[in-house]
Amino acid sequence: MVKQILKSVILLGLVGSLIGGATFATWTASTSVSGNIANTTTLTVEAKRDNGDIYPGPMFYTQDSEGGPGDVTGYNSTGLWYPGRTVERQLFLLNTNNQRIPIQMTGIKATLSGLNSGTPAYNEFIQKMMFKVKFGALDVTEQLPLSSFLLGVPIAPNPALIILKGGESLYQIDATLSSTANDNVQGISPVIDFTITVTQA
Amino acid sequence: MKKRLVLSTMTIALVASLVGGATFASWTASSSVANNTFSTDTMTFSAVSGTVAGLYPGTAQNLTIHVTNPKPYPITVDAASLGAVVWGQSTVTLHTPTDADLAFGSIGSVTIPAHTAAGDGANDVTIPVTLNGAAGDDYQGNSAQVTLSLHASAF
Repeated sequence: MVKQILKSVILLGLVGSLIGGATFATWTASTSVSGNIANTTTLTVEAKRDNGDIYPGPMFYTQDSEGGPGDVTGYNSTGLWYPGRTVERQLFLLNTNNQRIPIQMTGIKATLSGLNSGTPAYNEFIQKMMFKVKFGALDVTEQLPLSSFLLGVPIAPNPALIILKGGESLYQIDATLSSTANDNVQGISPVIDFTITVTQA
Repeated sequence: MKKRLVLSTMTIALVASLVGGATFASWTASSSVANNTFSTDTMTFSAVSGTVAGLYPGTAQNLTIHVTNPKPYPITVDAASLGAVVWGQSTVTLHTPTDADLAFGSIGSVTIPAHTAAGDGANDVTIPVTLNGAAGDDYQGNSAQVTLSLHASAF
């Protein structure tokens, strides 16, 4: 009996030493998988006029010959401008991203050519040529002079303006030559480029 | 135990605030609609001269001038200024040298309609003309050619 007890104690002690103090080797290995590619996409958008033709531009042109090809509804030239005149044109924004990136118009900026900066005609025109951007019944911008658009007009985030992948939105731009435009802007031919900025929404 | 609970709560709150307040960059893109042309008009209008008959000293007659507007917007003729006055018989003399021969009254404000598909807009502008009351016999049976400059505004 004593011998059996002794064996048991020795066995327990051996097991206990194995559990408590033994060092087990843990093999490790590693490998690398190289060449994984994480391409980022480029956010894209297309802005086009919509005179029934979805053409890259322009929206406003005084003569038919300036309107470019493709107008399926007939040329839509504005004719010459005079004080108090307002013309509305459509701007088409397309979310052309190949990823599910929603976008929103967040700014619009204009550049002006055809007039020399600082001349009476330039100074009068940038103050008296007014623009307003609308989206349906929503006023995206107030009616602001061209001088503001030359600096860039920010557009506040608005869920109503979000365009999903493959989607499109039709904006309206109202152009008005103020009724107070003076003789300095008679007989001029300024050209305006509009750049639309969109941001990932 | 209580101290650990407080520490855990603070840690969770800190992580939550970091997650909630993280700044995400939003990519941007742009596209242009170029070459929008805003050529402005040069305002013009024309007028056909009229004739006043039967003037005599101190009385006024209306001179009617027919004004035509070729533009697609109405204009308002609002002023006339007197230019040269050339009498057919150059020997005319006034009672006093400083008196004017002819006095032109106000034309008020006359709207000339816009050009339409039917044709140019047109209207008559009437100006009262008075022969000076001091005009002597030299003016009898005489005739003057008068140049008037009309002013109009588009709005």
